[in-house]
Amino acid sequence: MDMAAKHIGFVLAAYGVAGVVITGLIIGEWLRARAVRRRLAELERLGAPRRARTAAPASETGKEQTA
Amino acid sequence: MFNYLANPTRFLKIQAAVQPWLAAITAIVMAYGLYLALFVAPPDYQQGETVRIMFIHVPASSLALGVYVFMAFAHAIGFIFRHPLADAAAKSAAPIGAALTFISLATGALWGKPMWGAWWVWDARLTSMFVLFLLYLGYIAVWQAVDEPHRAARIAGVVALVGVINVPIIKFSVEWWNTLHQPASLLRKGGPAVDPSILTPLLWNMAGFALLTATLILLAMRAEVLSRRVRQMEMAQVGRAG
Repeated sequence: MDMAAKHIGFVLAAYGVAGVVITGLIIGEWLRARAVRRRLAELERLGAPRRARTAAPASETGKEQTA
Repeated sequence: MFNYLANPTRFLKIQAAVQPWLAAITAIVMAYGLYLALFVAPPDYQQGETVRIMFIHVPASSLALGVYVFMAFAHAIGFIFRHPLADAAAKSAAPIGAALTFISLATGALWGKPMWGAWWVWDARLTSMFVLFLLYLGYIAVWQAVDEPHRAARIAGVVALVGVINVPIIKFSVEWWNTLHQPASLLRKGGPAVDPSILTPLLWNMAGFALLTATLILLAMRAEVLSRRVRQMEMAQVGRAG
């Protein structure tokens, strides 16, 4: 890549934008996963039951399985 | 296959086993694609160095469409088979699709300014791509606005399935209307109209972006499945206390 070429600033800006967005996505997903893992561990430590007494909707609980 | 993966616990097990390998392959393919794009591909005889923007713009654009189709497909599976992971998959994919659409629009503008003399024109391809971005934001907003996940999944599913009409409009906009955006140069009759010196790095980058998208969706799905488990445990905790 010729760094002295015409319009090189546009090329660098494009790669910069993509890099920032992708890095943001990766960090965002990692932080979210970490927060959920910590909350789950906390609830397990408190002895929270895995299931409510009344059944929640299948899509929420993941209990339903097609045959 | 769908039935086999219908169990969230089984999904978490498979995801945990696959994720490190997928992430490693993604990093290798993306690094090689970036090397080809920045250091191996020659400047274009007309576009000069700005052709390198295409190595990000084209994969991001293709996958922005692909992720939306994936979401619509997942919701269709959810509606038809009541697959418990289908709407979680769609919900997890949405921010990634929105980010890819944003990259497509931003890099398109950064290519358009030096090549067309304008950051933006309201031609059919650019406008329909902008509509896709709005659809992603609307879809994400539905999940944020509706508290009850089952109801949110239904409304979001309708948004995804109705919005998928926009995908062929984006794809064929350059053929149906007279646009400033160039016509298709990869998926066209007679094969790709791109020289191999540019096509090879482009395909590597498309593979890298596709792997990255799959890795991120799986990671987001894991967090989503676990957050549903957290919600369920919190509700059970409240029920027990009450």
